Amino acid sequence: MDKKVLIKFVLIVLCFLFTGCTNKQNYNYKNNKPVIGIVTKSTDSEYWMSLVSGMNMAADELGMKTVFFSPESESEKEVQDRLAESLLVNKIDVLAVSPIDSYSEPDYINQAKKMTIPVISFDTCFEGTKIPYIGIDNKLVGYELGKELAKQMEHKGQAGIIAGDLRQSGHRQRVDGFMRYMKTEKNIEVAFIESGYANLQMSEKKVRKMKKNYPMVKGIFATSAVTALGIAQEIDGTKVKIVTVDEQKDVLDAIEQNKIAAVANQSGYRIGYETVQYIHQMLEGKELETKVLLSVQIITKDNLLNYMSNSREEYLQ
Amino acid sequence: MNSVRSKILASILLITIVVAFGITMVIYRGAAKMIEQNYITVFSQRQEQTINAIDQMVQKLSYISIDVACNTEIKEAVSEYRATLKEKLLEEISENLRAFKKTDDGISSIYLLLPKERTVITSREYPVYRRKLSKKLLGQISQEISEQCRLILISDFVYDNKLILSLLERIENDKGEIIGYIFVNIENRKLYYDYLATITENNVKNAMLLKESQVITSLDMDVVKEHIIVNKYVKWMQGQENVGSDSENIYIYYKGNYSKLGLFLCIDRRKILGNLVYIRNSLTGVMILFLLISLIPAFYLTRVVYRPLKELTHTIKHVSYGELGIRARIISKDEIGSLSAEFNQMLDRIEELIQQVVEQEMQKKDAELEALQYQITPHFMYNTLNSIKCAAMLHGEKELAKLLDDFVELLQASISKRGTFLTVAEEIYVLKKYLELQNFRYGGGLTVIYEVEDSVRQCIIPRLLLQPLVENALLHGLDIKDKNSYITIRMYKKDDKLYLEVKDNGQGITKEQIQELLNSKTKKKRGLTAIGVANIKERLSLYYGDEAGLFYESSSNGTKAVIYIPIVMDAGE
Repeated sequence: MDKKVLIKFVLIVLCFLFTGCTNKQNYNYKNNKPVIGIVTKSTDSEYWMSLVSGMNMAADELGMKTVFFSPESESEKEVQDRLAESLLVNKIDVLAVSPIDSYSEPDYINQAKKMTIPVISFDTCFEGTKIPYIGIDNKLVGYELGKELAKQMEHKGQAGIIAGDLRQSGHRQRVDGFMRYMKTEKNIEVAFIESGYANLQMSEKKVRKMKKNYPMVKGIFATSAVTALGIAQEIDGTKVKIVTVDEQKDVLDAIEQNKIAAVANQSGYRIGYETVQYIHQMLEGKELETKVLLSVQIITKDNLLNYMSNSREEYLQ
Repeated sequence: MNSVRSKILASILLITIVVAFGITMVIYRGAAKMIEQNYITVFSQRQEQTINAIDQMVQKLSYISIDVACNTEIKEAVSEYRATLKEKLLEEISENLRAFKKTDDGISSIYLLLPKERTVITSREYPVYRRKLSKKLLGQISQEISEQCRLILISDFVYDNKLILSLLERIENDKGEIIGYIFVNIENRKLYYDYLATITENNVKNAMLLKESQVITSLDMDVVKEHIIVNKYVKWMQGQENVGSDSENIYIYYKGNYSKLGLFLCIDRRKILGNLVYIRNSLTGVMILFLLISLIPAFYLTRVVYRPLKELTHTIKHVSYGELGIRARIISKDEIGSLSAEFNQMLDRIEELIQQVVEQEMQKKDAELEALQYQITPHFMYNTLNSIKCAAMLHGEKELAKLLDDFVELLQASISKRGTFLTVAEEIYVLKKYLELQNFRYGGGLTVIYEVEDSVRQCIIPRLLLQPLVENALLHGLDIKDKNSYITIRMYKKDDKLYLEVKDNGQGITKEQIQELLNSKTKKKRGLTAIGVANIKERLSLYYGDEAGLFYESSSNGTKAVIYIPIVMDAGE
C-alpha cells in the first residue's frame, strides 16, 4: 500500500467520523388550533354536563380547543354578559353562547362584530336576530308534550305550567307550544302558569301552596327537568301527571317509577356535539343555515326500554 | 511500514476502527434522535398541562373578578359611599373583598378602585383602604385600564410597587355608568413557585411566563428585571404551540387558550443527551482499550503468518549473494510452505546442473590433455612403421609390407581426429584392414563375406561401431583353427532403420554369456581390443537415445549380433 493512498484513506475515514458528530437534526413543529369560547347558562345539571362533554368530544375530533364559562345559576344575566365579554377581550376565535336573556341583545354582540369574532347560540336562541341557533324546536316540544299530557289525562281536567325564566326563549316557546295545543282540547283547562324556576327547585312550601290552591290539577308541564324532579318528589303518590324536557338519567329513572309521565329527550351531548361541528364547518367557510333544529322524541314508559337499548347501541357505536 | 506484516496490522486496525466507530455512530445518532423525540413529547405534554393549569387558574380568577364586580352588596355599598363618603363603608367593602379573596388560593389580594373619589379599598389587613391617591398615580392606572385588556401586568400601587398580574373588571351602576374597578391580583412569586418551579429541572436553561412581549416571571432573574424577551427566542414564540430546536437548544412554547399567557421553555440539548454522550464516550474508551488489547494477539498472529515469508526472503537474499548451499526452512504447510519447498528443489536442481557442467569441463580438459599425448605417439609410430615397411619392401618382403600398410591405416582410422562419424563405406574399408590383419594373425583360415546394400553405403554411423562385434566373434564365437570359419557382415535398410549385422558360424554362446557381454562395464584399455559391447551400447544410447539398439541371437550354428540405428545420410551427398 502506498503511503499516499493510506493517508487519503485515513482522511476519508476521519471526515466520515466527524461529520457523524456534527450533524444534528432540527425539529420545528407549530400548531394553531382555533379556540371556541363557550358560555353556558349553568353547570350543575346533568344536561349541561353532557353538553360540555359533547362539545369537548367534537372539539377533540375536529382539532379545536374549548374554553368554558358559566354563571352560577340561570338568573345571573350580568355575570353571563361579562363572562362573554372577557372571552372576547381575550381574543377567542368563536363565541358560542346559550343566553339567559333571549329578548335583549347584549353589548358584547356588537363588540364581537367589531372584533369580527363570529357568535352563535345553542340550546337557547337570541330572538329577533340573525345569530345562528343550534338546538331543538322548543315550540314543537311544548306542543308534543301537551298532546302527550292530554292523552294521559284522558283529555279532561285541570293542567298547570311551571316554567323556567321566561326571559329565555326556550322556556317561553315551550309554554307557547304547550298552550297552542291545549287550545285544541275543549275539556282541559290550564289553571296556572308559574315561572322563574329554572335550575332552582321549587321550594316545598310553594309546592304545598300550589297543591292547596289548585287541588283539581291532574297534569303539570315543567319546562325544565330539574324543576320537574323537585315537584315529582313533593307530590309523589298522587295521580298528577308530569311532563318535562331534557333527557337525563334521573328523569328516565323517574319515568320508570311512574313519577314522571313523559319527557322530551333534549340530549345535551348531541346539542354540544352538533354545535362544535357547526362551528367547524363555519370556520371552513361553508354556507350554513342559521337554524339547526335537532329532532326530539317523546319518551314515556311505553317506549322507555326500546329507547334505552337504542341509545346504548348508539353509545357503543 | 514496508513489511507485509505492518501492512496486515495496519489493515486490521483500520478495518476494526472504521467498523467500530461506524456502528457506534449509527447507534448513537439513532438513540439520540429517539431520546430527544421522547423527551420533547413528554416535556411538551407536561408543559401543556402546566399552561392549561395556569389558564384555568386565570379563568377562575376572571370569573371571581366578574362575580365581585357584579356583587350587589358591594355595588350598593359603593353607591352609598359615593353619596356619603363614610369611612365605615370602606371597611365593610374591604370585609366583602376579603371574603372573595378566600375563595381561591391563587388570589394574593383584591383591590377596588374608585377613581372619582381617588380611593382604593383592599382585601389586605393593611392598608384596608387608602384615600386621596395622587393624580399622577391615578393617571398611570387609568392608562393601564384604558387598554382593551382584562389581564394586565401592573405595579402594585397600594402595597410595594412590585409588578403583579391583575385581572381587571369594571363596576357599573344601574344606569350602566362605570363607578369603579376591581383588581384581582396574582403575585408573580406565586406564579413562579406554583408553576415554573415545578416544571423546571436541570435540563431547563430558561423558563418564562409571558404575556405577549412582557415577561411575567422567569428563571433568569435578569430577564425579569427588564421584563423584555430576549430577541433570539422570539421566533420560537409564534402561534399557540410551537416546538422547535436548533443545534444547542430545544424550545417549547405554549399559549393558554383563554389567558393567552405563554409558557416558554429553553432546554439544553446537551444535557438531555448527557447520559448518552457519557455512554458514547465510555464506549469509545472501551473500544480503544479493546483495540489495544487485541493488538497483542494481532501482533503474534501476523508474526505467525509472516515468519515463513521472512525465512524465505532471508534465504533468497543469501542465495542472491551466491550461497547456493543454503536452504529455506519449511515452517508452515500453507502456500508459503510449498513455495519454500519448490524453491529448495529449484536450488537442488541448479546445484546439480552446476556440478554436471563442472564435471563436463573437467572431462574436456582430461580429453584435451590425452589428445595432446596421443598426437605425439602416433606420428612417431607412423614414421617408424613406414620405415619398417620400406625396409621390408627393400628386402622384398611384399607381404610384410602389405601387413604393415594395413596396420598403419587401421591405426590412423582408430586414432584419427577427423570426426566421430564415418560413412558405411569408410567403416567397411577400416573393417577390411582390421580383418586382414586378424586373418594373418590366425593363419588365414577366416572367410569374410560382405553383404552391403548400395543404398546404405553413404549412411553415417559412429566410428568403429562394428569392430568390437567382429572382435567378439573372433574371440568367442569362432574356432579360428577351423578352415571353414565364416564371418558375414550385412548392412541393409529395414523399416526406416539401418541394420548392421555381424554373424559367425561358430558354436554359439549361451544366454548368460550374452548378458555378460551386454552388461560388462566399459573398460578403457589401450588399443583396439576389448573396448567391449557395453561401449557400443553406451555410444548408441548417447547418440540416438531409444532410437537405436543392440541385440544378440545365438544358436549352435553361430552367433548373430545386430545393431539398428536411424538412417542419417552423409551431408556431403
